[in-house]
Amino acid sequence: MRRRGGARRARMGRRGRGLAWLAVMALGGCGGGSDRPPVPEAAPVVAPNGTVGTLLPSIDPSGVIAPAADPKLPGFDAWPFVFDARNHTIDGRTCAVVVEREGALVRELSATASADACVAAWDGRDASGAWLSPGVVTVRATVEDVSGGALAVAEATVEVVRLGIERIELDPVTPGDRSALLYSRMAGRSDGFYELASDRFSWRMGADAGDGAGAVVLELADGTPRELPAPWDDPLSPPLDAASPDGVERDTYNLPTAWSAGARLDVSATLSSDIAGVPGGGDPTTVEVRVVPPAGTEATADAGFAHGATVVVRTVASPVPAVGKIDWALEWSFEARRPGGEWVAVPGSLTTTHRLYGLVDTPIFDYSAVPHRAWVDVVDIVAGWVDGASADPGDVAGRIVEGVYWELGLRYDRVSGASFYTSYPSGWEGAVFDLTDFQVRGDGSTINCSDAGSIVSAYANMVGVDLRYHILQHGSASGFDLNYIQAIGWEGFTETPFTSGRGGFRYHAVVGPPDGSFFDATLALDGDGTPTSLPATLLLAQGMPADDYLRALSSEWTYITTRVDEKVRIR
Amino acid sequence: MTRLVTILSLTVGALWVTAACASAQPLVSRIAAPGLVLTEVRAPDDVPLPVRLVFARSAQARAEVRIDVLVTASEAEALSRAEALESRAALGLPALEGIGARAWGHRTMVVLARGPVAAEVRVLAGAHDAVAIARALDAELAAGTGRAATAPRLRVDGDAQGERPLAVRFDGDVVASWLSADGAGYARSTERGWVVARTGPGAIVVRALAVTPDLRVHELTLTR
Repeated sequence: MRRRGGARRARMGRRGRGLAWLAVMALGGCGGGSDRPPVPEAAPVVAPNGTVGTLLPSIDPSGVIAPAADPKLPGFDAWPFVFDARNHTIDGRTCAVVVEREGALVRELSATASADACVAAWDGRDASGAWLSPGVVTVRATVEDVSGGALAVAEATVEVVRLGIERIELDPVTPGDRSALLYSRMAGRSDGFYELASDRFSWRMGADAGDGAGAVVLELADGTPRELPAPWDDPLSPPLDAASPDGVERDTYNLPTAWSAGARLDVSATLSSDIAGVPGGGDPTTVEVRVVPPAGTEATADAGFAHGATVVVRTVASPVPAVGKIDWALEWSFEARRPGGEWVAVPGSLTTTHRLYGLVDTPIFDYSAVPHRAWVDVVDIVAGWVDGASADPGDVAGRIVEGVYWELGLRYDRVSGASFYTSYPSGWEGAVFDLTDFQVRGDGSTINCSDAGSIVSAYANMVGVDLRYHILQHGSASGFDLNYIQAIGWEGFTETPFTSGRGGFRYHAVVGPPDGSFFDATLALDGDGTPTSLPATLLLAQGMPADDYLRALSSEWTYITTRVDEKVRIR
Repeated sequence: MTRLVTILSLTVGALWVTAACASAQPLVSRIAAPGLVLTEVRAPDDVPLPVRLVFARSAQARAEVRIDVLVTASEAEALSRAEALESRAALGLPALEGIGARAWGHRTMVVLARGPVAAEVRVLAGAHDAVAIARALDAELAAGTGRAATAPRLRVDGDAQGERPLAVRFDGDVVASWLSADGAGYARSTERGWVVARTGPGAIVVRALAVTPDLRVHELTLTR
């Protein structure tokens, strides 16, 4: 067992003999603001054998020895200890590095000697392979001659800490830019709605009831670091926990959030230094630690690390510039220093990933009660269709029409043209869309125009595009004829889309924004300018002026009247 | 939504009883589709929308037939509702003779009115005949809808302000229900029935549409 440096120092002074002793405390001795630590004036430079030299904690490409580190920090590889030996003849000699706590050997490290440095790395574990608990340790490097005699010694005092994040809240810089989301089938149940309020923590770590005594936010009961939660992938249900008051996982989770495109975010991270059995037990005691704002963010206030403290960073630009789905990664790193010293990077970092959905704007409905929210599964579909290409309402609505027409596997009811998912309680007003059933195709994949209108408008409303449904009817007759169309899910243009060979619609439903243009996913028009004859050029109505649309739809277009201008109600 | 698989997993063979005998049973037990079991009774979320009965080959199988039933206050209202249902098909449905007071449809879709009831039979999958199902339904309706069930009462247990949702119960025989809530909470269906989740302090107005075995819809409200 090696003795502690202080005792050796006293003995050396008494003896007046020559073990070159440089007890350079890395935490106190690495400051000064220069690239290289200064050689302390009091440092003895004469070794027993007369060799002149120093052995100092060094600066190396990664910086001076970090005064603190958390070996359990995700991304922690090793704690590098590089002792500068440029003033010391080290060639041909060996060096040894040990870690001690309160005079007791914790670990002998594998060290290498080069021309100008003694280098070792520590994984934070003791000789038995167990994690060393947080606290101060001494790292001692010794240059030895061929016979094992010590030529020079240096020490660094560093602190094992525990650095982590308990929860993260994402807030809009501009109020209202974050929207609530809704899961529609919690635990697989129809009508099993679960709202993610716009002010709810989206990312959290915590001990589960089943983890056992001693489990804490950052660690399981046996001290194993708790894994960071990945974004929750099920778009229909939140993660479940039977022990939770509402049946939803509330200990460790990572839930999606929805944002108006272009929103900037304030990210509030509540810090934790929990160790198994001791909440907050890994808080720094002799060093200062601060959070380094993740790339693309800047701190809005003091970013000092302390158990339970909250650090707020603000995005420099919007991470959600358009409609889409983004898994936004934030790399949280840390710096440490002795009081008054220079900040040194702490090895390792933790990366939290946040699923952000970009919307055109806040969801827009005519009703306020649940389920009139942005449904996760719907937003996920639309985000995939738009894929970050635009935040323009017209573009996004047009992409929704394309998606519904081409990509959902839907087919027009060529037998009756009857709706499967849309009901009208009274007249044509108040259309109710059974979105819950539609999302799982509970009644199959056959639809009619009311359904297509409901799908397009409900999807659009949820991502903040104002689309309402309209009913087109002949002003005086019981129906109107059709030009060449291609119904959703069917091949080829025809004037008589029904299996009976009949053509014409008694009514037709389309959707559109307040500007009066039409969007339609029920059918494709013949867009070649002569819709009454073949050949046909496929044209989807994606913001067509009403007259252009009607002219392409029917030869009786001048008789067609447009009724109803309201959003569908969903259930 | 309430699944009635256990109590209503009856094939038409078991349910195909005579009208005279059947009228003693509640309407929900007298409606069937041959070879299929009733897997779900779905309450409407508004009035006057119909109650939906869903039939499939088994509880886990996809729906093959659905029958929407709207029990109204009068024959005239039922006929009006049936006409409205028929008009929602973009292609007009042919009239059917011998079913109900009026009926329209074909093998995959039938709309009919009989007494105070408007109904719609839809074949969603499989080789089922909507006309045959509609005829059988009509025979059941001709036997009457039965005595009107007592309107249930709505109860919301507890007044917790925390994360635990408030349990919703009905006093009375309810085969399906739909809940919505306005104010500081919202309603959702769970395996233990409907609950109301609080989203903040303040009053919650709970509105329920409860379907009794006679397939009538009762609108109930309660402020918590």
